[in-house]
Amino acid sequence: MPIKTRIKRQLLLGWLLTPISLLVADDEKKTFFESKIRPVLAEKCYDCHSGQSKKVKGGLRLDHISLIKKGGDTGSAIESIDGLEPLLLEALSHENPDMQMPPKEKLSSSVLADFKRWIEGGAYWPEEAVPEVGASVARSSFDLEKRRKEHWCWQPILQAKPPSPSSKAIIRKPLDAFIQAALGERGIAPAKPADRRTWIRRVYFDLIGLPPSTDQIAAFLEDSAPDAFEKVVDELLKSPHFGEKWARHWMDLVRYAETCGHEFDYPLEHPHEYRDYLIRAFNADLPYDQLLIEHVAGDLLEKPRRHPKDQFNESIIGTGYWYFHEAVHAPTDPKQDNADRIENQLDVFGKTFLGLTIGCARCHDHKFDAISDEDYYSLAAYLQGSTRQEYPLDLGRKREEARAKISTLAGKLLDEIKSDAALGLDAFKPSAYIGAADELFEALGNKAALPGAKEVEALAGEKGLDPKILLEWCRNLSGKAKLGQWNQKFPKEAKGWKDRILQEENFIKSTRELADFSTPLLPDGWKATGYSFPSRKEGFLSPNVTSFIPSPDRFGSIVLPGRFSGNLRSPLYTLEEDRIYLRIRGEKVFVRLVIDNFHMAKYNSLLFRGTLHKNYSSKGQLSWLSVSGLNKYKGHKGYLEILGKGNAFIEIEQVRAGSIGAPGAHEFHPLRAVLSKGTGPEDSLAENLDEVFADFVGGFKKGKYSQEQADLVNWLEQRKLIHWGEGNARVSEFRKKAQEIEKSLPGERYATTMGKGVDYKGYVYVRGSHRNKGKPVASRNLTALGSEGGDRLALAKDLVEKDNPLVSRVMVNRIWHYMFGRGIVPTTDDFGPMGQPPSNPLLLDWLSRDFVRNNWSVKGMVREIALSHTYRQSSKPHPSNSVAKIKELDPNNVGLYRMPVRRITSEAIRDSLLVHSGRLDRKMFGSSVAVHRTAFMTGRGGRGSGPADGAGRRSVYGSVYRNFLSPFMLAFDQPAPFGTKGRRTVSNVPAQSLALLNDPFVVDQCKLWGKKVHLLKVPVEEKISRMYEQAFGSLPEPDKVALFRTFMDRQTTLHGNMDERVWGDLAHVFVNTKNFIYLK
Amino acid sequence: MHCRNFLSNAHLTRRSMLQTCAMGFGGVALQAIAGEKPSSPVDPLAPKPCHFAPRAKNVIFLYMDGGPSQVDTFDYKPALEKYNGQDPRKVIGKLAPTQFDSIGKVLKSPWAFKQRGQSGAWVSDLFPYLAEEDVIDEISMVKSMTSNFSEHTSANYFLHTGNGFQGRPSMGAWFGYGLGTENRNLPGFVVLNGGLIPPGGLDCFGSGFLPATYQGSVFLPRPEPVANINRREPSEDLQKSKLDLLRNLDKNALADLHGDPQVEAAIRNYETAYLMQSAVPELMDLKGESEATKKAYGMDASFKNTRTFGLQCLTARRLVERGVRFIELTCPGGNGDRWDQHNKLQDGHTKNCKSVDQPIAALIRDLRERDLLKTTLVVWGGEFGRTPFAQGSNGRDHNPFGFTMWFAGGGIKKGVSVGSTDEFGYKAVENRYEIHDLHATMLHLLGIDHTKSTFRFSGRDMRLTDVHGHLIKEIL
Repeated sequence: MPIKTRIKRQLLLGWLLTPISLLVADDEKKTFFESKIRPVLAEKCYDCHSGQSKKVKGGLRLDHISLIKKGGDTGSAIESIDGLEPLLLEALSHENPDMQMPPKEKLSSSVLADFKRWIEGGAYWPEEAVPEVGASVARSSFDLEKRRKEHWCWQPILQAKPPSPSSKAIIRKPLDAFIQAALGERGIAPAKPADRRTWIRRVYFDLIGLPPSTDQIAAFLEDSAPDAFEKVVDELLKSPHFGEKWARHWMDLVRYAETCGHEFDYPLEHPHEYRDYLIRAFNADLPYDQLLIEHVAGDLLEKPRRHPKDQFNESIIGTGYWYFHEAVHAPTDPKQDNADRIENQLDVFGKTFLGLTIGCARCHDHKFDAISDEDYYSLAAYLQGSTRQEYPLDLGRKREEARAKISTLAGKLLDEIKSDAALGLDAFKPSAYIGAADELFEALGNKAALPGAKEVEALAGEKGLDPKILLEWCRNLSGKAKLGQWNQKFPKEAKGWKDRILQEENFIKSTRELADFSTPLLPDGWKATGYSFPSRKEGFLSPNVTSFIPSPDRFGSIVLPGRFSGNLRSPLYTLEEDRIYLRIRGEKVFVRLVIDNFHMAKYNSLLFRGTLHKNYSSKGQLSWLSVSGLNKYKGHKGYLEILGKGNAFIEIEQVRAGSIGAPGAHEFHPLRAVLSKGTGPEDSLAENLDEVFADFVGGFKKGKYSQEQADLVNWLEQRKLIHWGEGNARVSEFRKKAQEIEKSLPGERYATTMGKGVDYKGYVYVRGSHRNKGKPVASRNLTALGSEGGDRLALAKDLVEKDNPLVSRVMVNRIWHYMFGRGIVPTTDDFGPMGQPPSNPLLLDWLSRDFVRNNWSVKGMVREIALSHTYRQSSKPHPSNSVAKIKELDPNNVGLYRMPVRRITSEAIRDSLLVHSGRLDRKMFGSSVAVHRTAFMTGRGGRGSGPADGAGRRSVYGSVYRNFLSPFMLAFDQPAPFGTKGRRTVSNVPAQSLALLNDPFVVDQCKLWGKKVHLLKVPVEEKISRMYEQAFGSLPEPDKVALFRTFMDRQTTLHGNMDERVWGDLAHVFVNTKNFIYLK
Repeated sequence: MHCRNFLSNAHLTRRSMLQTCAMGFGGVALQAIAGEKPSSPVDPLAPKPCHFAPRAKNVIFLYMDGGPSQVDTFDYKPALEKYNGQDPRKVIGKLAPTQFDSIGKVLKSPWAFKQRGQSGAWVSDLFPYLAEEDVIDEISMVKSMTSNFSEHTSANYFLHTGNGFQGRPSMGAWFGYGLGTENRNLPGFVVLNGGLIPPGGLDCFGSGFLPATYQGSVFLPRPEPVANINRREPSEDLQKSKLDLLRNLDKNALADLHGDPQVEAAIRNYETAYLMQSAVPELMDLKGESEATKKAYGMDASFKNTRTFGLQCLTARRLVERGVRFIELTCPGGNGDRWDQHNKLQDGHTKNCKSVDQPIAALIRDLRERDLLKTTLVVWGGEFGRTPFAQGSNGRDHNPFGFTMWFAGGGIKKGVSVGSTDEFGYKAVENRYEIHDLHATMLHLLGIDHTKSTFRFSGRDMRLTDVHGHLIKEIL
């Protein structure tokens, strides 16, 4: 379609009806009828007006021309009687309240025009028989391409040029030309510029959400430079408060909350990290395309953006928005629960970024828009195939650095041990220590007691042994642990081991392997995030003694108590057995199976008992840990998550699935390795040990040794029985250094983020039911947007490609909405057919292109608007416009011939109070201040109450507990967080008056403000004037001052004294005055 | 036609009817759709026309938080005695997953059942007051109610808002939206809190996407029953002088803001707020009630929760007298965990019944005596019922598949029993009704066609009944 026609069509959609031209040729008529008329009749009318209708309504059938002509109870549907419009057109136009068809939906003006054209062209109908009653008429099926072609939002963004201004126009920015051209067409003049006081108050609230101070007003009034306005705007754009104001807008879109709601209002973890991310992003003017990419797939970026100071991965925090949904703790049908959560996630995703109601396509093809149910489930596949993770934020990249340092140190030490004979590992013979110990025991008369230190030292000196190590050997060989006794127990224990081994073999046979960690790389589909799990090849010499020598056949976490964290996640398994077993050795292990992406078992395991272990200890053994209770969830999908957090430690060997009990712990016994060398008498055991150790040392130097050898060495090392020669000192040095490094690390911080999962292949859930599988689907973008496949990052990038008609339009429209109180598309979150079309399509497109040209700069767009004449206008219409004319042409000021009067937001009301009272704490970021709980805020899941004044912090830092939302914020329409809310309700209720009159917070702030004013050392008149200017941005006229004085006299009489209370009373009246909360 | 012209049967053409609706009832919706400020101030609380002649004009919803057991109260099942102690999987057959997944034996009711009144309704010994003839004969029961959720919170949201998720408008808000209010000095939707806020919290009473005007106001039994209703000034004069100055300033402000209609409405709200400051204390002041009345409601009862619920019921009547559209009562705490008797069924249900039985009976009589019962719909029920088999040994788990709710007044039939569960009282089998049907029927009784009371949100015309809802014809 050539550009020119398109422009015309766009314009028409916005402003006019299509002109009517008559159709000539028969085939043209037929095409027109079959493409424009019949499908509409079939889809919109035949339920009630055809042979197939259960009951033909109004006696009218529309499935044959003869019947249409005949008409129903009210006469012919298409004949024009007495010069009136045919009934069919009247009904379709919805102009007659008595007869509006279809009853629930007014068809678009272009469809209406088609019908008009059709009737005027003679109401062509092909030759065909009248359908019989009950016969099914071929219904027009869901035609996505047709819908995409027909609805404005899917059309490419036009290369619009600002219209040339008329001589009377006031053009400060190109956008003014669009606005004024449209006004000019209707003969309406734009308003004059607002006075400076009005403008500065307006721009302060819109840009930073706070009122200007009297000094800021004064400076602006005095600035006669031509760029005075620019200076104010640029200063505000630079203010850190800008991010606080605009982040809050965004929080409305992503249903920002800090708890999950429902019965116990369980917490959402680390939500403030996301809020702070937003504030930083808006302050840094993060290009919007990047913001989108980070929200959709920040976890997949190869080179994530880093926090400017703290250097942690910023980009990934954006993905946290997926998880601000509600959550229940005990769904009896977790698949349904998962599907419900995904609907909310896609609903928010669709509305926020695309202005589309994607959620509507969950149960069937979208009723009105070009979105199929297959589209819905293809997007859902991205979520099914992603995981949620607690992602460690590496402050200052200190952990990364520490990891590298420790790794280098450990590597160096390993190399030394391997190569440096001087370390004496070659010379170390356990038998020498065992022999010496035996001598000492003999000297003691074979008693169970330990030999004295003196004796040990003497003998060690004599034999050239290390006395400390000899003492440890004595400890380990004394009493029951005596090596001789081990030997005696051998036949019995050997039988025990054999039984165990048999049991193990049986267990292995009757279970299925899910993962084997003895391979050099992580098993297929497993992923490690964070710093506690080393890369598989690292061969990490851990400073923790329990795993001094790296296990060749296992995968382990690093232990640096409390300072390193990370998680290990399996791929998505389809659950087939009752249990999953992990063969692990570990302490304080958090292991869970996340079934159907259900994350709440952590808080309440009612229906998920056995699926998670919060604090598991294998007590030093290698054990089978069972994840159980899965019999209920067969056929469901789940993935394992193992957290290495704090001082947890884990070493994992393999993962299996089965339905039987697991064998007990498999205790490692050094003798098993030693004895396998032979079955000789007692004295040869020590020599066997020498041989085994020498074998290890030999292999170790080549970097090849067995798991059994590693276990033996670690077992000995754990008991401090190995003499490393000079290495001992080096080993201690290494441990000390590692601990120092660890101590220097800052405390841990996390964000809840998305993580990479698997490529998910799923199905359409027919009519939204997971029990009813339809066509198979894989992750891809919407059909109407090109159905590009690939991973989430590919989706994100695809969305911000230049030919996407939605993303930039939706965002510039939001910015416009926040600046004017009404978007060019008023339904900011719904650009679909159920939303409203743009009032000025060319302006919208020009802004969109300008936005993208300007590197998607949000600040740039805000600046463009703030400095326009349209924004600078007075809210009083231009005197040349006649009231009657305006009322007739544009009663609701859609064309912006004046600035709309707007109420400031709940946050701005509260923050203003704090500014005036002097209580505002401008501290940024960090955990939220708990909501102040009144006697009315009861119910389950309540947390401790916060201070009534929110610690003086800006409202954006107040907690958002779903079941305990701030009544003050709610009263002034801060949205309850459950879905995208780009356009807040502006309600007007007595509860607002009661809050401003009687809420203790308001009353207290007014008292503080009064006290502040009372203490000023200036004359009363000046106090009044300053207070008035703070509250309203303007100065009081003398008659008002007189009024205030009278009031103050009266209050003085009532209070009995002229003191701060009187000033507080005046402040309280100001706060309740309408122009305190309205911007003109 | 106007709801204030109650039951008047004005002759109307379809055209004028639709026109009225479009301007009044639909008018607010239209503005919301357009997202535009009204060009003339439309008052969202103004009484609005109905779709057809209403039978009732007020609703009292006696919300039995936690899920009362149908088989121990109104749904008599002799089979439970027969199979008591047996494995329900063998006797009943395949069981749906339960909330606590701890299925015990078939459990007969510890209470005896008798037929009562002229209607012969089965009522167990748990409700001696309700069972009295002049009361029970006012009541119609639906024994085949079902819900979609077996977990409290979702079921509570569903019962209150027609949707299992948080953030949708509560039915009380829908009534306000559909009908407006008749008393400017009191909210149109009042929740009399007996102590328990249901799981799901205050959002059970929220206005969701409807304007905040319609949200439920929770009244607490305390000196300041509604938030911010008491002035903070030490004397009335101190507040009055403030309001005088305010009025003066606002007059200027209105001119300064170019007569903006929303500003005008905000100014008007101060008048309302001021009047509310006195209307609420007047409502809560029972000086005018006779001792006999108070006694009838159980306000002298030895059991504290009876006194609490008695006060709630009496206040509910006073709210009806003052034209409050929708009144919901929540249960007093301390009777076991609400009606949620996962164990200690006998103890918990005994206390719960003792709390509500006498006050409810008194409420029905009192409304009737004041000629308010026929225009006041009383609805009793919880978010679901309980299993006929035990959880553990002496409790019952949640059961959304079949439970009883009852209705009185508001123009419904008297003494009817609708629908039934299977022989165990486990699942509804005959005339199965669901929560959407309850809502459709309640709206219908107040003159609202549930398919026509819509609000455009999120690209859809939202309804309390979503795309569902059939009238419970048998009680109409």
